[in-house]
Order: sequence, then structure tokens, then C-alpha cells
Amino acid sequence: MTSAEAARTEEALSLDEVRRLYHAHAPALRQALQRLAGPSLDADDLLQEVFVVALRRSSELAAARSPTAWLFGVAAKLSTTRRRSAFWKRLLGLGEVEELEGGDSPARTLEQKQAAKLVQQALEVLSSAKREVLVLFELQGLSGEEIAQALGIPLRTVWTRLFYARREFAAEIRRLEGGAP
Amino acid sequence: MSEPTTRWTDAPPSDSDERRAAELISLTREIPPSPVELSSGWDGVLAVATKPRTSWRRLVLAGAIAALVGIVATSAVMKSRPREVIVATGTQWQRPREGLITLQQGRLETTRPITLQLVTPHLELVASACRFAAEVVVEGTRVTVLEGSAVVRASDGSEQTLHAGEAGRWPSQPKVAPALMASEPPALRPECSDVACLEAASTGDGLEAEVAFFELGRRQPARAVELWRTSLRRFPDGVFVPEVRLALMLALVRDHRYGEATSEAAEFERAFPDDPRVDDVRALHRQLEWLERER
Repeated sequence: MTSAEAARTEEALSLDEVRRLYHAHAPALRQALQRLAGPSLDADDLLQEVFVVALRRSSELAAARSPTAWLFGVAAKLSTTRRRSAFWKRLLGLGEVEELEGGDSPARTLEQKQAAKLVQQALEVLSSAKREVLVLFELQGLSGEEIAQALGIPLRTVWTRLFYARREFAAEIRRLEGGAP
Repeated sequence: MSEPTTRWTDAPPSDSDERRAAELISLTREIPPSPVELSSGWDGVLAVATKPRTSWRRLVLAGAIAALVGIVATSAVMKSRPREVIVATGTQWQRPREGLITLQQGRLETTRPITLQLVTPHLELVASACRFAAEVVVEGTRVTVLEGSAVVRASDGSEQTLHAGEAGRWPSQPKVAPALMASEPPALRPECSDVACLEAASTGDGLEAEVAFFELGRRQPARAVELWRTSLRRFPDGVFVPEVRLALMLALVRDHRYGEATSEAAEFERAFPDDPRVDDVRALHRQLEWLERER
């Protein structure tokens, strides 16, 4: 690390800079959160939390090679944590987890709506680790390097997870569409 | 296993199951993200970020730190470092990082000239070697600069520099609810349109004269307050008294006569407690009182 880079890691982003990131990435992050967290969790609430984390850890965000990847990484981690706590709440009957309406989906055609529904259903059966990689790579368009940075894993692990995620996802789609299991 | 460096959407797979999955992914990927209400969304982020965080872990940590400080304090003479920021009891504030303070409610003062950014729900203040005090209430933020200078950017985009000894309040003008601004004028149209005819009509009695007064005030903003006050005096039980009183209140606000506007707001609340606009009037009333107090 050069001295300039070292100095940069000690800096934090200003409020304005984080706000600019919010304006630039909020819609895409919200969409990713809907896909990662599933229909039972509130994506708006999670989006807010992503940026609260960004404000509180702004020096980490400032030091990130790709702020976009960093934000998607936080979104993935929050989704996983929330899914887990929602699962336990549901199991212990502690909280009602209601299915949120996906009524504001800007899908243009019926075909898109049906595809999105099937994709979401198939994503639900994947483990968090595989779901994260599949969503970020195939749906959100992040590169392998960005995903590795976002999730804090080696690039090779990204490809391995993607390989298995694709296989399981395709098998689940076949099952959902009435094909052989 | 080969490294899948290309997306399904760029290079459709040969396997039939994966090809179908790739088709669905491709259709889903084309769906644009829903729009996000950026302004209120960001405000929500700030509101959550500035809420004090309490958790058992933090309490335990705080307890441990307090105990440690106690031990150190009793075993050695501490060289105290003066605090650079003091806050009043009940103040909601946070320091997310060095150089940034968010103040949601209450009063805060710096004890020496410092350089920092202060964010309140109504403004952003950039202080450079500046000692200042800031107080936030629901209606607005008041800033007093005691030493140095500070640049204040209000949420309406305006910018002002305050120097030592100067004070300011934001918003500097009350925010009138759109429902009040859009308040319908009397449903009746005046019988005539020119001012002379309206003047003549206003000398009469009953509904026609009341409508004429209202219309005259609308056409002659400089005389509106006088005309609508006359109308209220002449027709204290008139059909359009709520509309006239609202219009009068807004005209006084427009003329920055906040004390008189406050009286009109109070009278409206007293006389028409069931009016659907009364909550907006109450909100405006509170703002007006704050602005009057801060003058």
C-alpha cells in the first residue's frame, strides 16, 4: 500500500459523498435486496440499514476499491442476517413474518412478471452463499472481482459458488415448471 | 468445472435446463428497478443513523469502561482534557465520525473554536475554527456564532455565512402546507369582474358583498389584509368566514407579520376546531410562534 493509499484509508467520506452514493445506487440496491432477502422482508427497511452502515463505517467505505461492491456486500450480509432471524422468529412463533406485496414491480410484460416470480421461488431454495453470488453476478451485473470484494472471498470461490448455484437453480426451475426432479 | 466468467445472458448455456433458467434470468434482469423516493429515503437514513444505539452489548461495554475509568481516576491524578462539545440534557445527537455531528433535537455548544460539520433536519453547517451554539426544535434550527465564522446551507438550498456575534434561524420563513395554499376560494363567483363593480357590491349586505370582499382582496394583495379584516368585522357570522380568516392569515404570513398571523391562526383553531384544515393551521401556528420567539 502506498502512503497515499494509506492516508486515504484513514479518511472517511463526507455526508454529501454518502448521500451521492445513495442517490446513485438506491434503486439498484433495493432491487438486489428484494432478490436477496426474498418477499417476506422489507427491502426499503434493509436499504435504509445499508446506508446507516455506510454512514457509520464511512472510512471503510472510503477505502473500498469499489464503493458499489462494498454497498452490495453490506446488502448481502444484511439480507442473510435478516433471513436468519426471520427464520428463527417464524420457528419460535415470536414474530409474524408476512409476505409483502410485490405490487410495485415495474415488470413490463406478463412474461417478465412470471419469470421474476419463478426466479424468486428458485432462489429461495439456494443457500445464502450461492444465492448471493448468483444474484450479484447474473441479475445485478457485478463482475467476479467485485463480488469477491463485496463478499470478502477469493475470486476462485466466487466461480465455484456460481457453478453450483447455477446447477441447483436450473434444477429447481425445472422442478417448478413441472419437469422431473 | 470451468470458470464461468461469462454471464448466462451473454453466452446461453448448452444444457437445456440451464438454457431455460438463463432465459428466465434474462427476462428478470430486464426489469428495471422500482424508483426510490430519494429525498425522504435519505432523510430516513439520517433519522435512523442519528438515533442513539443502545444494546446489552453496548451497556456492558459502557459499564466496563466506566469501571475502568473509575479505577484509573482513583489511582492516579487524571489530566483532564476539556470537552469541545457540550449538550443540554435530552439532546439527541451523534458523532458518526470525527468532524461530523448530527443534531436531531436539543441544544449543543462548542466550548472552543473547532472545525466540523453539523447536520440538523433543517440545515448543514460547516464551521471552520468556529465556536457556536445550535438549538434544534421541531419547527427549526437556530444557530449563534460566538467566534470565527460558519457557512450554513439550508435545506431549501440557500447559503449564508454567519460571523462572530451573528445568529440565524432556519427555516427563516414558515412552511405553509400545500392544503392551505390550495384552499378553495368561495364557490360563488362574484356577479361582476371589474374592481369598481366589486367595490360597489361590497357595500351591500349578505353573501354577494362577502364574495365581493374576498375577490377584492385576491385582486389587490396590497389591500388584502385591510379588506378581509373589514369583511370579518362586517360579516362575523358570514358563510365564508373560515376561508376569509385563512386567506387573511396567509396574507399576514406573506407580509412577514407573524405575530398577527399567529393571532389569526389561534382564532381559526378556536372557531373551527372541526375544519379539515385545522391540523395544518396548528402546524403553521407552532412555526409562527417559533419564528416570533426567535426574532
